[in-house]
Amino acid sequence: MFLTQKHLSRRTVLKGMGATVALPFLDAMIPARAAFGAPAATTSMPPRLVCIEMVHGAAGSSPYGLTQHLWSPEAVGRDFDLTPTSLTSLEPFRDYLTIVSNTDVPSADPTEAREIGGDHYRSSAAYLTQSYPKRTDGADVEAGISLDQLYAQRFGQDTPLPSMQLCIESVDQAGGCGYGYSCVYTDAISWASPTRPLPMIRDPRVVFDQMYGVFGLGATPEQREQRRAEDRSILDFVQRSARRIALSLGASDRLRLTDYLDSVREIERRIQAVEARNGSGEPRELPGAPDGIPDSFAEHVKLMFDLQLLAFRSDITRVFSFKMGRDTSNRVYPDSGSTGAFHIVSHHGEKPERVREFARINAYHVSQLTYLLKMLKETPDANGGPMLDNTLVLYGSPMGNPNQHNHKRVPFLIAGRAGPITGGVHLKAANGTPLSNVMLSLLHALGIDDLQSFGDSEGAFSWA
Amino acid sequence: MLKTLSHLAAAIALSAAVAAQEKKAVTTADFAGTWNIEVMSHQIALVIEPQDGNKVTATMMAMGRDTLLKGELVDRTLTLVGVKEADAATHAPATHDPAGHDAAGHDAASQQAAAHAAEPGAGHEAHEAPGPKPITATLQDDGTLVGEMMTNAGPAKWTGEKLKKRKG
Repeated sequence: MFLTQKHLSRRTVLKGMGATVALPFLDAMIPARAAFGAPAATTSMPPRLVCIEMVHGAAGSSPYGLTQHLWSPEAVGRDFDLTPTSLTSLEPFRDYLTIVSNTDVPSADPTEAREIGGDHYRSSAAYLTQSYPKRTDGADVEAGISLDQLYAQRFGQDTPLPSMQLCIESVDQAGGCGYGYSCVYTDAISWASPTRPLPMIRDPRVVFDQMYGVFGLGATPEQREQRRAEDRSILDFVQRSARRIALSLGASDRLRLTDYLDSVREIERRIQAVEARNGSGEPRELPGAPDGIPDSFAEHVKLMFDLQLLAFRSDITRVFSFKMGRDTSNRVYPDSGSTGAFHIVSHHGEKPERVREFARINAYHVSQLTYLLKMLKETPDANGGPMLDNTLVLYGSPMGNPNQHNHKRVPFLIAGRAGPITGGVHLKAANGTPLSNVMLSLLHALGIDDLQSFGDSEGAFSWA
Repeated sequence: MLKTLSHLAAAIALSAAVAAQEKKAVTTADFAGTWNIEVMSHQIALVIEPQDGNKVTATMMAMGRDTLLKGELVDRTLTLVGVKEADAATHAPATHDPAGHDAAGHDAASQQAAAHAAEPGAGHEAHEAPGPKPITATLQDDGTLVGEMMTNAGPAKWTGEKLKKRKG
């Protein structure tokens, strides 16, 4: 550690015309007392949280898939084998994995005749809220406050943005989506209150601008548009500020700053390249999608993960929700080994070969996680340890067996560590355990230990 | 000792007979309520209301369309047929589905099956009832229903669970 004479606030930013670039964590931001041997907790930060939803459940939740362990491993405890499951790509991170199997999401079940069959249109609203979505296609939507928002409201006030909500598929459909349910229930997974769903951002450019161009100095849309038209980098606007701050930093901090700004530039370049490609007039795989959205699912997910990592490095926010799919989507994932459309393949008819095809899509989706986990593992946190040691990445679906549209034995896993969640274990819940019990205990692990219940929880879940 | 054993055997036989009798004692009240029916990967609501004796009326709700049914209980099985009346007015309009769920999400056979799953006697004009093939619903020991109905893809077996009440 190199201690400079000058102490920088964690909130120091690089400023320029219409641009504000938050800094990564630097040694110069450590208070002198902490640096000279105060307890590590002095500099500890609340864990970061990424809540990922994938729709359409999992092949491993079907009767055949259960016997073949297509989602979770057969063995419970620490000696689990990921080989037959859809989680094999996560083997390098097994010490960080907490697989929780055999839980249900009863809040997504129908409770009235008119709700039967409408599972696709209310599931996403139930995922992070674990609350029953009121059937309405009007403005009087109601579910519950979501896990990420409970956390952001408690611990997100110290960052410029308490939380961010990202997605991959098209959203913003107005009105009712089916069976009398508002499209809001399909489009949003984060709820700031039981009646306030938060919009999800699909365009990486918008995420980037929110992170670096908007907050703080209040750049106008016109300024942002002008900057884009000039094809300049956001870093061009903060160069002078960056040089000034660099002069006051030690050698290791200067390297860290340079590396971070290179990452910002690299991601900005990729966004610009996507915009240029999609704006060229060439036919697109996603006709009608904004220019900033990559046609490739993997490229889009990667870009969104890169932005999340940048936000974590610069402490712009510590909380993300990320919706990687949309119910009834018929997107094709050729890299999965299946050429079938997602929703159609999910209706596998319980035929073993079709269930296995669906499992390949599940495995492909899960494999996207490895990119984020690798970066989190390799990126040092403020205390020098891997960022993944103080981050929880949740991945799951509110649906179980999509062929029956049920919400039993839903796929769910946690990657990372926080409090009692240390990873390297497969925990199988007792039959009938609601996922809300797990989420309640997750919130306890994240530091909200005074919470008595969450959604339709019936009690806490044991991590032992 | 032998006498005791024969008394025991008689008691067992009697209780078995009683149990068998109890098993048969199914009434239309056992069918009353809302059932979540699964047929060919589709979920359909079946609301059954007991009437006099062994008669019931029912409404099948599939994708925003209601079909009125009437039926009779014999043994443990309800046989339901469509009600022919000026019922078209009572049918709810089809739910608008901009996501194209069923058009997109199911193969052609099951789409057709779903569209007609609620229509007893598929192959006939919608709501022209009663059709030649009634819907059957048999109560199982575990409280679930199993049955068969005609779809455009042919006869299809279905299973049903009574809808649970929401907690809280």
